[in-house]
Amino acid sequence: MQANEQPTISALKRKVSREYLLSIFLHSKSFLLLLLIFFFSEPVCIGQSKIAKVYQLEAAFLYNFTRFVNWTSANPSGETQFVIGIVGRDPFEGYIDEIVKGERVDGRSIVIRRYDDVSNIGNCSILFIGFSEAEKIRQALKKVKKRGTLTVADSPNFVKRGGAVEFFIEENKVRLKINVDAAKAEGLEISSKLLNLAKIY
Amino acid sequence: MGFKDVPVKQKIMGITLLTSSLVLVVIALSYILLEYYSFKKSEKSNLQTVGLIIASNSSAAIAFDSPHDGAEILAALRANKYITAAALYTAEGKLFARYPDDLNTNSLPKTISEDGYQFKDEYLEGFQSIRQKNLYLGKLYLRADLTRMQQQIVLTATTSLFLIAAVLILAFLLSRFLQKYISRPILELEKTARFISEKGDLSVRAVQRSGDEIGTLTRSFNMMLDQLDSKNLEIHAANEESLKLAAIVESSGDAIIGCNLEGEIITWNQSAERILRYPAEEAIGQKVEFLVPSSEASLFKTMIKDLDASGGRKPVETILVRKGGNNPDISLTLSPVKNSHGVLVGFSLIARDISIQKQNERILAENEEHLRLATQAAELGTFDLDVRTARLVWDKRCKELFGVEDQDEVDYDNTFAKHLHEDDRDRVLKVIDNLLYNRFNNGDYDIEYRTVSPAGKVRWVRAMGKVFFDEYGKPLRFIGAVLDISEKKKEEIRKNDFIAIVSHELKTPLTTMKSFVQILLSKAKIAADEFAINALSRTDAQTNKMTSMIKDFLQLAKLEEGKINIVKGEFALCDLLQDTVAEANLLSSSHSIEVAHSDRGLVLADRDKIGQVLINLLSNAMKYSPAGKKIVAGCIREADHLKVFVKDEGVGISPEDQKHLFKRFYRVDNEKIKHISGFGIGLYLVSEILKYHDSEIRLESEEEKGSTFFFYLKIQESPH
Repeated sequence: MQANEQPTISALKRKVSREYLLSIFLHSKSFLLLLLIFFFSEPVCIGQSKIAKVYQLEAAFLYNFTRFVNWTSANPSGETQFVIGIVGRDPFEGYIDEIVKGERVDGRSIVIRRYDDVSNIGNCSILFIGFSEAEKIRQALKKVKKRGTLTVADSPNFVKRGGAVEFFIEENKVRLKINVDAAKAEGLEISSKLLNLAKIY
Repeated sequence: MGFKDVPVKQKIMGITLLTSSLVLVVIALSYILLEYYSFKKSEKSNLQTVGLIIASNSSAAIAFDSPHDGAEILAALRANKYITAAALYTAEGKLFARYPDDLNTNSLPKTISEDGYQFKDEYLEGFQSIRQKNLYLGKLYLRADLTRMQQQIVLTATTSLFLIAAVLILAFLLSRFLQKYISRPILELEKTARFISEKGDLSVRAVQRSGDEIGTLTRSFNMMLDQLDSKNLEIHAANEESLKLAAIVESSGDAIIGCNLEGEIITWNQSAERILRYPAEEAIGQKVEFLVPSSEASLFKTMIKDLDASGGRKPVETILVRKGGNNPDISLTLSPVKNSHGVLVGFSLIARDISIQKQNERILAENEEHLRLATQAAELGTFDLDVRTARLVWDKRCKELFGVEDQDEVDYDNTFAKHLHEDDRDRVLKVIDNLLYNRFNNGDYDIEYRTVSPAGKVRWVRAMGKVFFDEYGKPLRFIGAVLDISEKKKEEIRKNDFIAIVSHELKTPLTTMKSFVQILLSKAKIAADEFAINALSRTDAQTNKMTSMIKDFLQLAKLEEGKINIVKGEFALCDLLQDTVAEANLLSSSHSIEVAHSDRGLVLADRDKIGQVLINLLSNAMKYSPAGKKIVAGCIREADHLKVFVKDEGVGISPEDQKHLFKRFYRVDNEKIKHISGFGIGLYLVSEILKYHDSEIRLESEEEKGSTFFFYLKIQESPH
């Protein structure tokens, strides 16, 4: 079955980590709301990892971007793989690896590369800038500028600063902000359907 | 009343309406069905399209976990009011969004299933996968209300129904109008046929209005009528003919009996009933053999065999059985009866009752035998002349009398006339001519003449006979007998000679006497001796009378010898009559004779002889009339003849005496006239003389009333 071959939302839930939930709890502005999510949404415990639903969603969203965004400028880096880079602390733990396992974008297999520092950022099609690297956003953006990279972050004002996609929580839901100009500058085409959902900066 | 008995008019309309309604219903049903299926198909494809669009649009909403957006996208389905329900499901099969917002989740399927749309009772529903670039994101559920389709179909059906009704009404009107083209000629034909069958009038014809089959039918019908008409006329004629024939058969004097091949009697006419006395009901059905007496048992077989052999239908004389006996003599004819194909179907028997004929024949045969015996006894020869065929038959004796051999054939000119004595020939032939063609003597024949045999032997014969005439007065047969009177004749001749001699010898002294009486009378007149004058006058008259009587005798003798000399000359008959009457008046003192008519006319005759006739007739009248009775004579012109008559009021003559009156020496034997003297030669002479003038003396007489003697002479030329 097609559906079984795909990584499912329910599969994501199994890998939600308690630790990451804590850090979210600590970093989130809407602490109370997150707390409510925590209590009202059933925490699922699958395997060893158990992360917050928010990160599960965000991991899934990262993967889903590969379907709603066109990387028109072929492959400036000359990478043979579709690289999803994560800089800073990884909130998704192994969860995202599970999701993208075996998936391909335009014939290229998806790989997750983690950079512990902004300076280490290499060629990647999607770059998630972790909350821990919120101070180095400008630096990170500068690093991947003009390299056809969709920059994603869950730090506030990310799009204001020149990032392409920003996760934020609204009405207990993970929502998106998109800086269309920034994406365009990187030669990216974002599906109008995605744009319809997102707040456009 | 089944369809079969419905009038053509209604049949045509019925068929038209049935056909058109059937066609319309089939078309309507097909249309509705087609509509239904195409509607279903289009509905399905519409839903698919809508599904694809919605699924595509809703992919991001699911991918980025935005049920609100999902609901918003689904809300776009408002534009399609027939989509009554829609829902988005996540890849896990969890309900993600629904439309309309207030939709009861229970009415949605609990589980998702494969892609595709299915028709349920009143709606169409199905799932559509939601993908983005191969990434399976979830399912879209759509449900469309089908009541619209049902409404549409109901509408279509209703419309069709109305349309069918309208078309049928139109078809009804049109067929009502158009059926005439088919039904009218048929109805006219039917009307004509009915008229003919009811009235039996075959002269009526149907009007042909078209060139189609009905037209052909009409033409054929008319032709059939023509044939029927002529057949009918033939049948009519044949019927009349057979009626006539039946009437002829029925009224025939002959018995006509029809029988079939088995010999059973099937027809029996009135004459059969009359002749054989069996009524028809008794005879019909019987075998025809019952009519045959046992002595003639094989009669019919023989007749049928003869019929086969010769084909002839010769009458057979036989006897048939009569009811109650006295079987009649029958002349029976058997004819085959054939039908129109010439096949023998029976026989007809024609039976003629010939009993009377047979009886007559027997009587005739007996009579003939008697006659034969009588003639044989009297030595009479018989002759029989068939005037029409000029066939002359003589018996043996007759041939003997004419000196002809027995085996020789005889005929009138070459045998009879040739064997007459030449002195008698003209006279005899003339008498016979008058007898045959002028009906003298009413056809009675009585003559004496001489025959001369080839050997030269002369015989005196007396022939007597009778001519028979047909209804138009034409002579048919001349039959009679001839008797040898040679001996008697010799006697007669001797007697005649004697009379002639005596008369002559008496005449001489009488002439002398007469001259002396006349001298004495002259002297007495001079001497005026009244007594002498009277006595001598009477003597003179008596002498004249005696002279006349002697003259008669001499005439008679000459007649008998055939030596009478007729000298014909033209003279006026009435003058002679007047002279003779004057002379007779001189002779008689007791009677006065009066001339009543004296029509003028010249005749060619012997004046002396006719004068003698008149004297005889007048003296006869005077003799047989009482004194003082009137005697009237006259000469009347009748056509081209002069009729001379002498009428007295005397004793009259009986019919019996009339027959013999003109015979020689015949005297009426009557007490009243016994005193009257006479020799009985006067009327004989009159008769004989007139015969020489192609005339005859005739008589009308009634006893006690008187007699009228008359004769005719032909006028030579009209007196001017």
